[in-house]
Amino acid sequence: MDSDSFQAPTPQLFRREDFLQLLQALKQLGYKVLGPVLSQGAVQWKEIATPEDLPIGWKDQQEPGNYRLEPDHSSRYFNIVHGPESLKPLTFAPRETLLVLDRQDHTFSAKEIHPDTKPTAVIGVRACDLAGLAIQDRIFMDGTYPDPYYQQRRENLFLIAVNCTRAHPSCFCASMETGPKAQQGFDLSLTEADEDFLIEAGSVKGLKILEQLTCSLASEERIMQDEERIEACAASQTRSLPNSRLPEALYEAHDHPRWDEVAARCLSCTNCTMVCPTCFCHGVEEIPSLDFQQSKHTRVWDSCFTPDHGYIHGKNFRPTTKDRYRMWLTHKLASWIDQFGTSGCVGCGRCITWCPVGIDLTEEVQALFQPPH
Amino acid sequence: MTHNSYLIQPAMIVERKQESTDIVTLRMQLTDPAFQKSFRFEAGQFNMLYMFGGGSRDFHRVRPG
Repeated sequence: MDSDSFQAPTPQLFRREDFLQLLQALKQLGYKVLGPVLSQGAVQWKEIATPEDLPIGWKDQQEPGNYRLEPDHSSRYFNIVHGPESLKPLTFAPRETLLVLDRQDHTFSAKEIHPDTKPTAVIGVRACDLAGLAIQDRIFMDGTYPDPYYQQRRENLFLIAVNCTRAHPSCFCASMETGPKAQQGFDLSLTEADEDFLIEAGSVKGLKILEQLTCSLASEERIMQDEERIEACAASQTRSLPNSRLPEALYEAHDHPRWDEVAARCLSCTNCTMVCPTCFCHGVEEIPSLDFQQSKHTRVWDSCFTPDHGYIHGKNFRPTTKDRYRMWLTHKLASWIDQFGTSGCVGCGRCITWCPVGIDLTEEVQALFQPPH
Repeated sequence: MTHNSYLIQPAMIVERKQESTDIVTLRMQLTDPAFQKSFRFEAGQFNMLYMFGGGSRDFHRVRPG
């Protein structure tokens, strides 16, 4: 991604009726094109061939513990803010075989399994998910030994952001300064209106695609209108985190009675960590063949809410749900800052929406920052 | 791909010393002589020990064996 040094030209107008050009231009360059597609009552990233594959005529309603799609009379392509998937599964696979080991007499050999990746363009990426991906990039690719499986997938991504002009009640990206407008890390960005899009390049790769599209000049007034719609989306968000008091106040709340209250509600189901764009815990499983001559060394997503996550040599350091919720929230919002220099939260709100009992981390933090009653 | 830190190198356990009821010291010899020659570590460095078909466990390296 070279967006840091890239000077973006002025946004242009791109008509909805020409949208197929974008899909065709990407396909001509060999990209598999993914977009949000209706699936099991939500949206998932799936391959799209035409704009009609997008969830036209639907919008999402999200609030603590609730996700519903509702018919919508608009003809917009991106009225659903997001589904349970962030970009995480596209780069950090939920399950993948890393190595295959073959036994030979008293020793064995290990063979690397290369990810089966091809250039992939993702249309409809939200600003919060770009921020989540940037955090995962740091975790998996910074340092002396980048993760080759993650890296290979990541380098094959072409990202088309859609700026949010509609927030749902779980959203708090404005508070986390990650959205609603995509600032960096995208190749193209779109701001959708009823008849057309403002389209902007965020990288040289994006500009090359943009140059193939039939676009027209966008007036200053139109650009301002779209900025105002994005600002209104930010202003409509009701949730927030008190970032100026983090990380210290959360460390100080270690013995707060609120942890018992939230633990009494939490099911330790792991949903929050699965839908989180930044959670990166994983384990490695061995899947031996029936004759025990071969073994698949397989990485799978793990969660700090599982009973054995804190088990080390005869002792479970986090035996209760209270220990696990405190560990997750304190790492996400406090020690992540010490570890990586940023919060581990991007304000996408998925952990709030997809929690089966509607635990809201912003509400928990507010309560933990109050004196114990 | 770039260097893959998940790659596993076979080693023979040449000595096993029971330090306490649940702690052992293992002396190991990498079976690939070229890899053995290039292998470097610092005392206390984190490593994973893998048993074929059984999975990996973390341990701490103490000294060259």
